[in-house]
Amino acid sequence: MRLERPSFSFMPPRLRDLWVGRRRAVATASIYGSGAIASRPLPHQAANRGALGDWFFVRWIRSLLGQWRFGAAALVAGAIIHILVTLSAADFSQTSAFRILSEEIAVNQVTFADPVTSQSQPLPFLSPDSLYTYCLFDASLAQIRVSVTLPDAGWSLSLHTPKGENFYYVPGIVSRETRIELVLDPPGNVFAHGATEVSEATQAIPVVKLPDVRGLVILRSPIKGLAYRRKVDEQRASFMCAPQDLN
Amino acid sequence: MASAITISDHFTRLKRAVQSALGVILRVATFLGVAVFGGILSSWYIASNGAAFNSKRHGPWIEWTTAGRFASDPYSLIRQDRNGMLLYSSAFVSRYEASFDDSQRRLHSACHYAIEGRLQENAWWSLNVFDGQGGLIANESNRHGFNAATIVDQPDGSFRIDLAREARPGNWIPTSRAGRLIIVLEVQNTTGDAVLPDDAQERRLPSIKRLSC
Repeated sequence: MRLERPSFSFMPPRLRDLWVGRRRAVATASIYGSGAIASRPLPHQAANRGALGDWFFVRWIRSLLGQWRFGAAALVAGAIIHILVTLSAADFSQTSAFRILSEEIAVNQVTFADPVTSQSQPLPFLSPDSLYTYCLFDASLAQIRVSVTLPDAGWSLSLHTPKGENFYYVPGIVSRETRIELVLDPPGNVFAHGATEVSEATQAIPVVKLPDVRGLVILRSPIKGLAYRRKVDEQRASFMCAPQDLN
Repeated sequence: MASAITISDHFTRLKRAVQSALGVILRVATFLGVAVFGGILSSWYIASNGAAFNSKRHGPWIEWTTAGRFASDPYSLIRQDRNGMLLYSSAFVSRYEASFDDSQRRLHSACHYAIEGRLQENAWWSLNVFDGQGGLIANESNRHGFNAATIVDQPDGSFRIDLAREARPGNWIPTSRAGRLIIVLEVQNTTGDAVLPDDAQERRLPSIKRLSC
């Protein structure tokens, strides 16, 4: 008497049935041609098959489910497309804040923007309770010198890359003036090693190594009320941003 | 008899060929659907709604934890560029957005909301209300929000802001007929550090309660 070897598999029963079905389908295709979809249903599959099971799409989806390589390949391709789209989307954006502002303001000059209102709002989600002063800089020809005094809390000076990354930020302090003087230096060898800011002890003015030759300096001045408006305008006037004289 | 068998064979072969071609077309379509649409839609979804690695939810508020930073994650950059937003680094200015109230119902100008809370003393903050596209809502009083200097506190130091179409006493922001609303809260620490420890942020962010519609 011949003993049957007990069948054992780590696969769960449904997955094993699909796998067996796939192998039968391949074997059938090799006999009758590659176009044949003629896997014979297993006993419990046949029992479950009703009117729904006879639909072409149901049969087709079942056949696809059995083809795990197909699903895995689609998922891998989807992941690759996801990564490519994600990494390239920001570079092709036509609506970035830097792009919008760069069409309206002059390079290496201070631009005092009008108050943000519902009628004149250059960018979405721009806080209307602040006045904005911009300096679109291009340090490809010379270093840029920036100076300003932040009189109180709520004021801030920030540096942004063309991608909108804020890599330098100085906030105002409550009831205390903060004098800021900076020299913006275009990217060089130091930046290549990963540093974004270098303060040289031998110089009185800190040097900020830029990650990009172009960028944006923003002075944000809070409006604490109409009565403060004139004073705020006077304080904004201290903002200076211009190429440094090489002589 | 022989010719009948030949016709039947041809018909069977033709049927199989059509089935085979249809199968190939459907497989290619499925492959492209899963790969192209799945890849693009998943990227769009994470850029719009955030994921665990780049956003944090505090009740109705969502904070994009890496937004505006140098070498920020690409999803935050996509969102920032797509909306044309000018953001400060989340390391210096904590920015919270709310499109839903405390009960997870979408904010709408047809309803009356009360925003109540207490924020860190000595920290500069501003709270503004925008329409669904980030535009300011036109109103006669030209009022769109409050900040640490313009808010009128309650006696216990907390504040309450009312969002409604009709005028309300106290700190009222008119919402007119803007439709969907987005509330943006920006908090800046005077030292430039992040605002509060995580456990404290849960308690200190204001609540958004719908009072009527």
